[in-house]
Amino acid sequence: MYFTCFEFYAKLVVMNVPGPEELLYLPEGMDKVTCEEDKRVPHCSIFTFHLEDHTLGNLLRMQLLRYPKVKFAAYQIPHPLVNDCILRIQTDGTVTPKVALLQAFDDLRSITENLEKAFDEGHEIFLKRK
Amino acid sequence: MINPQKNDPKIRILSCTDEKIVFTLREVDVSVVNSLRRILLGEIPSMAIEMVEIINNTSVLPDPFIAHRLGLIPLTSNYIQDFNFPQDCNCTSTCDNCCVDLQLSRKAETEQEIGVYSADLISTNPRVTPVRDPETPRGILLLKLSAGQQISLKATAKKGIGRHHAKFSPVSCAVFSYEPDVRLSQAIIDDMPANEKEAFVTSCPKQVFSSDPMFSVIKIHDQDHWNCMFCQECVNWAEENHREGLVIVKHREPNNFKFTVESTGSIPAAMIVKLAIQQMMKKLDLCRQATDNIGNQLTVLGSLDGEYLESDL
Repeated sequence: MYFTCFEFYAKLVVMNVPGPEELLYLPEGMDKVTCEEDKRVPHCSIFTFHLEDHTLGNLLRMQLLRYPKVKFAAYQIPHPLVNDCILRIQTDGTVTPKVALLQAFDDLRSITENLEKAFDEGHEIFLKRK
Repeated sequence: MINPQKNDPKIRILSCTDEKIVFTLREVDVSVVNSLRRILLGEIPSMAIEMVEIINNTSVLPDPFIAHRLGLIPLTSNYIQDFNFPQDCNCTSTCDNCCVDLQLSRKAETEQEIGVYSADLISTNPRVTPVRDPETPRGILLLKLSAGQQISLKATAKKGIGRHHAKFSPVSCAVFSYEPDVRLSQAIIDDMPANEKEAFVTSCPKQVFSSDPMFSVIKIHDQDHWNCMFCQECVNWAEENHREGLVIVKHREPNNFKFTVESTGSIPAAMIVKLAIQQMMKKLDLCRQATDNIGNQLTVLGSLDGEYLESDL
């Protein structure tokens, strides 16, 4: 099909492809993380991380599932064009989902710190061997 | 709550050059390794040409085509931390803190056809130049000009991340694989005639198994098991030839990983991995901070904390 230049740009405007800005910058006044309580199930909260994807979602889910006090943890990306990551956490009631989530963040942080240390050590050993 | 990952991660670097790093990872969950891989691909900032102003183009290639090719050229980004993201910069449009200007101007003066290479791009900032390596000093071929044709353009490189556009990704390859655990049953091997042993050894497309010329012993040499790609050819061979249990192939427990990262040349490979780990920390800190802040609002809204206190932990 042949378009004139103007028609082509007109088509681009009509398309609902999200721009790169939507992927990278949080709109002003918007919170990075929002939370709502799930009324249907006890001790259950749904956290929405804006501008996050599987990188964070899967990391948190796997860490949360290690805690005996967490009964349920799962994440979803609602749509490939929506840059949100929805994490649902249900606990046994002795702690709030938020506390479990913060604990997961702390533990992952220490794992990452150890990972960095291990990488530095490994790199040093490698350079010495050379 | 206790941290169930009691052991610290262990990393052993097998090979490391500016272009490529290979290392093994132990005592780390696959989710962490996968996040690291995703961050390597999509969230390490680097410089790439984002805007092109074509002044004169009489070559056979259309302008957008050339602009696209220019965008994909890797630019050295060792000092990427000194640059601001365009949206974070205080300037109104472009400035030295967020942009680097490059110029390209070539003309085929003689009858001979000439090639225009990425090394012909002249950068205003010596820290951000098209990547060159000793084997191909002229860089990447952009286009060819025949007699009389010319190209002249101005390009602006900006800082970005791979999630926005793949041209910003500093890695050309970031993959990890599980460590294979290949076990042979010596009893069944002893039972096999030499021709069958030969057939078994050659059944593996990646030469995991090795044998002496007479095919009396079958062995897996020191690091050869890493070649295994879980194709199950050897297991299938054993089943077809009624030698069930001859070989077992599975992931080694606990999981060991072999991680390979290849750089485009913009940042040395080892530095990319280091940046990725730091980026992961930054991401976790940012989200932890934001999660911590929700509670403060929620006490106002009164929906989350209710009867449970944080001290219950």
